[in-house]
Amino acid sequence: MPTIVIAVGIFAFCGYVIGRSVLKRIKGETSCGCGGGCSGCGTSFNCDDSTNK
Amino acid sequence: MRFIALLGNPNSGKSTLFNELTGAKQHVGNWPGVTVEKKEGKLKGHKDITLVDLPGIYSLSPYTLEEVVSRDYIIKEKPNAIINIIDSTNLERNLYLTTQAIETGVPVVVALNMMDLIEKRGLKIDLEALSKVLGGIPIVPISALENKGLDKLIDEAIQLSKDHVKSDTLHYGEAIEASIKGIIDVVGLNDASARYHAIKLIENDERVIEDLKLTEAQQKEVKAIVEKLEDSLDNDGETLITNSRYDFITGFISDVINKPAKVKDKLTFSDKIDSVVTNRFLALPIFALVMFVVYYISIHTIGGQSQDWVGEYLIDPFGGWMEGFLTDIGASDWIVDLVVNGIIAGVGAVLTFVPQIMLLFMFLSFLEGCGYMSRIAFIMDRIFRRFGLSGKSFIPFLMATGCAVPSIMATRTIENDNDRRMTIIITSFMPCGAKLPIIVMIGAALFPDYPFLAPAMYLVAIFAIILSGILLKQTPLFSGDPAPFIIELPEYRLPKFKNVVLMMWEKAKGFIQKAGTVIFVASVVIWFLSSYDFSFEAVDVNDSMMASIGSVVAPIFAPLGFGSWQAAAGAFAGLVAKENLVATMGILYNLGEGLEEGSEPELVEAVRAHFNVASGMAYLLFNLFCIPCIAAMGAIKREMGSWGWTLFAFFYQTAFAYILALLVYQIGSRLI
Repeated sequence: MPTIVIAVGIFAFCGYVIGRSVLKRIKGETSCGCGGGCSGCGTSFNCDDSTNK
Repeated sequence: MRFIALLGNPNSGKSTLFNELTGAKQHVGNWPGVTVEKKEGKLKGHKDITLVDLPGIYSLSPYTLEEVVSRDYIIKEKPNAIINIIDSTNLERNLYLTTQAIETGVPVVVALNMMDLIEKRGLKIDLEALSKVLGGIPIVPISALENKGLDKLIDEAIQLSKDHVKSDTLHYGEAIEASIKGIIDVVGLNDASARYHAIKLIENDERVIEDLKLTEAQQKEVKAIVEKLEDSLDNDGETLITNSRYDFITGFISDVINKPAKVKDKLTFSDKIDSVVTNRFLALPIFALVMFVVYYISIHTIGGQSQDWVGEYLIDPFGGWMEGFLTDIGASDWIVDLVVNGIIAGVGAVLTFVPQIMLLFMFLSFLEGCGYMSRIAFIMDRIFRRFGLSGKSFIPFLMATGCAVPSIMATRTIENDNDRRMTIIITSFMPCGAKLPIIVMIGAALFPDYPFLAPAMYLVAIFAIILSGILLKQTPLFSGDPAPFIIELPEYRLPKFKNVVLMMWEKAKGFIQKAGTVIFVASVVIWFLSSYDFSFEAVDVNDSMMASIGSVVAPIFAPLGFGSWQAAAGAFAGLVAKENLVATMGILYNLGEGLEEGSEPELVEAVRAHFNVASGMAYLLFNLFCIPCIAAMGAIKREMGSWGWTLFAFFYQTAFAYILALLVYQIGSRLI
């Protein structure tokens, strides 16, 4: 039972990460190579965390 | 909803002001081109007002992308008010844009920024007199960095946006004024920006001619008016308008700035520092020394110790605890293996670099904030120009030390297509934050006594960029003179503590988020490929799918000295994200064997066991210079706009990396 719960959790999380990335690409959003948004690495392009929206 | 636009010269403090007023965390750069698109944010405490940060520009002419973006927004979107932010220490030049902003018909409030520096210099600006000569527009002294005067500025801007107060504009003299009036009548301009459009037609601004959709008859009449004006004043329309604006400004500037006699001609603090750090002979050695100190502290001393601490006291105990916990609750062996030897080994290998990343970007943020990085751009422009590279290219290269994606986008400021394409191709040569773990991993394993490895890699990258510039410029695809480069050299000042900490935190946050998402998924995939064979049976890592796939590719790298399947797998995994190379090594060597008996199964020990100095250096160089991560590849495709150029970029980068690594290994292995 613990194995199933953990395995489902891990693979669901992987699916979420991949799905979110694909969705971003489909919507044409620009994401930064360094991960969590763009404000940390010198950009100001279409990033959620650089606006107050 | 009301909109207030932030307009100003590059480096006048727009983004700093934007962040203060909206609470946003937009990156603030001490060089032009940081904002190449307009950004929007809600004004703090005023949900019905949107603040729009426009790219920094010197005029509303349509010569650069930034100018087009800014002026299109003001003329076509018509914000309710403009905050024209001015660098008070360069008042005369900054006011040129102000004269144009006033003509757009949008109410303008001038924010005189950096007034703290004016006071320090013992200067005084007569605000009343300045407001009077500019037609009575409100003028508010502020310091965006020190958060001074911002409340009053906002009050003025909100009031203007409500009242739609339009100020008087400068008088161009009888002849030009008559022409402006004539053009307004001929074209039938009657909105608030009528005067702006008429002046632009005198300047023969093609975009305005296009936007106004003039009939042929109107175009002929306008042309006749302009030609008559040019004949009567013996100069072309654009020059006449430009000269009038500068004559207007120089006519009052000395009355507005009060400069005590003792201040005149005295070298400022910044001038004195610049006489040393931008000195023809000293500039480069000082730059090399500064970078050495930064990397030495970030990677070898405090950073190195912190990395060991994170590994020893956080990651390793956590792995041990997790293994015990999973076993205790009765999880299967394979899930224990996946979590401990897959996810924790992969993600943990990357997370140990967080302290070094934070320290490095704290130093880089400090250097940028204090104004030194702008001097580096200026110094490198002098060098790049000799090799046919545009100095404008260096800004993307500087930004690439953070991440290749924004640096590729920042090339939009380069007007010349050849220079722009070339910059896109070579900008990812600069080691980004994600490549730092690879440098540290190889450095710690094979060059533990050489603290200059990391700064040396940055110098090698600059060398690779210059060499590529020379090579590519020889081809007809990239030939041509480099574009002119203008950069502000801001006053040296202590950067705001908040900005330094913010950049450090954002970088660490991005790194941790990436480890928790992309690297997490990649670690699961790598563990799976490394633990099972093609019939999905659990096998030793050397019989796994990863080993089979890696073995097919490995011979390609054999001449470079790293023909093992693990090294090949690491290089390919790095294409997802460069840190992934380290994560892959962490997993493969954690699962695998081949270490000397008694040695700890640590990443560094494992790398030392599988590489020698020559092959390790070749592996490092190949991974630094070959095609970047998938996000950067996407950015290259978007900015190139064609598959042909994109594939050319990938081919060039990979070929360059391969040949460089080949030379290093073949020569190095013979010398050792």
